[in-house]
Amino acid sequence: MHLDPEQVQRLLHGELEPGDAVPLRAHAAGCTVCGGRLDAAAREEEELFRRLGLLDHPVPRLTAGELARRAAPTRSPVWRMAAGIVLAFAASGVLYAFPGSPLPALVRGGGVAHPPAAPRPAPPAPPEPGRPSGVAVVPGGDFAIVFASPQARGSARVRVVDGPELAVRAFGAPVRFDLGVDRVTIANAGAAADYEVLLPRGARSVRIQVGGATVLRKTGGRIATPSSPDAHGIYVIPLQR
Amino acid sequence: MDTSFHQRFVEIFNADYARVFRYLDRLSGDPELAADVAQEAFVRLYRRGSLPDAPTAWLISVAMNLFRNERARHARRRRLLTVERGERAMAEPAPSPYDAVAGGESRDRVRAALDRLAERERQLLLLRAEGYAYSDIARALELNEASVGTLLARAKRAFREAWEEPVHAS
Repeated sequence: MHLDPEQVQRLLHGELEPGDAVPLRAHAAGCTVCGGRLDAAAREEEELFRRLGLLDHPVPRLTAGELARRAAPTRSPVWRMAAGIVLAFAASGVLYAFPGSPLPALVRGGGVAHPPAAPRPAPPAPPEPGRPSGVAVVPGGDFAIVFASPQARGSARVRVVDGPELAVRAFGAPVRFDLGVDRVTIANAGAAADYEVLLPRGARSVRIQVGGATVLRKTGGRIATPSSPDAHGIYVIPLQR
Repeated sequence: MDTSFHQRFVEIFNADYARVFRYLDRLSGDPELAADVAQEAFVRLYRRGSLPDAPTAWLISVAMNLFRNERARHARRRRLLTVERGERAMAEPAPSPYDAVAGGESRDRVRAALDRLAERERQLLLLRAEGYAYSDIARALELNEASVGTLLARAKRAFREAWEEPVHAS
């Protein structure tokens, strides 16, 4: 029995367990056919890789530190605008309260004869740009996304994506995600969050459950759910039951 | 950012950045596109804030998806340019000095042979040429790991046949 192509390649690339590799090497050493195949495969690969090297361009210089700086989260324009407004209000307040400031007189002199206004509540601070609430995982053969409870409002927007990862993200309210081997459970009792769910196209079997009821099932390339996808291919799953 | 994650990220970057770039460069023949996509893949890994189960396979998958999207975007843009400006826009840029030094005809012949392979065969050969393990190749290309060697042998044979096939100038 001679080495098959899988064994030849694995021997060549050190992709066999020692227990499997040793007897195959011993066989190849004593068998002219298999020894020849192994030598020919090694020569062919060396020649191939040398030719592929002709395509190369210099690798751009980049360090991990430079890349990390580039990857650091940046404030969005909306955040910057909100921060600017808050700063402007704060600066006006300081100017108004500053001893000798002409601003109070200007305001009073403007004919505004209202009684002193009750202290206004401070404008709500812009939300802290914290880490996104969610999980990402490469699903195995069978995977479940379990919303532990129905919600009074909110929905899950489900999209099929090309990457290898399944992701569930929550927006609008904090919820807890418990990640198991074959499932992620969203502890959403009493929450009113919306969710984004990304299902990898290659995932074999994924189901989404809400309060124990299956509301979507992906089996290979097929998706079974009561709702139809919108123009962008997104399934909107209501979480009320 | 978690210190241990940062350290691990640096290790992965140092081990993988050059080979992700080279893989994409060989796949596309476009070093600028390859550099952009490789950097973006690592940026996404860093922003993720934690490592996936198989970081190497994850990086390859993300890089390939980004590459596909970018290539489609470039193709759309090129079609638009062609409509606006006529066939002139389709002309390839002049070869760079680096191209000239690196061997013109041989490089063209390698590119032509690679282009004649099926997409999967091309990816297999280029990933293995960068020394990726069978497990990472299988995961990234969604193959059965037990058959990676057989598929590699077929891809090599296909390359050899494409290499030996005479090229007819049109």
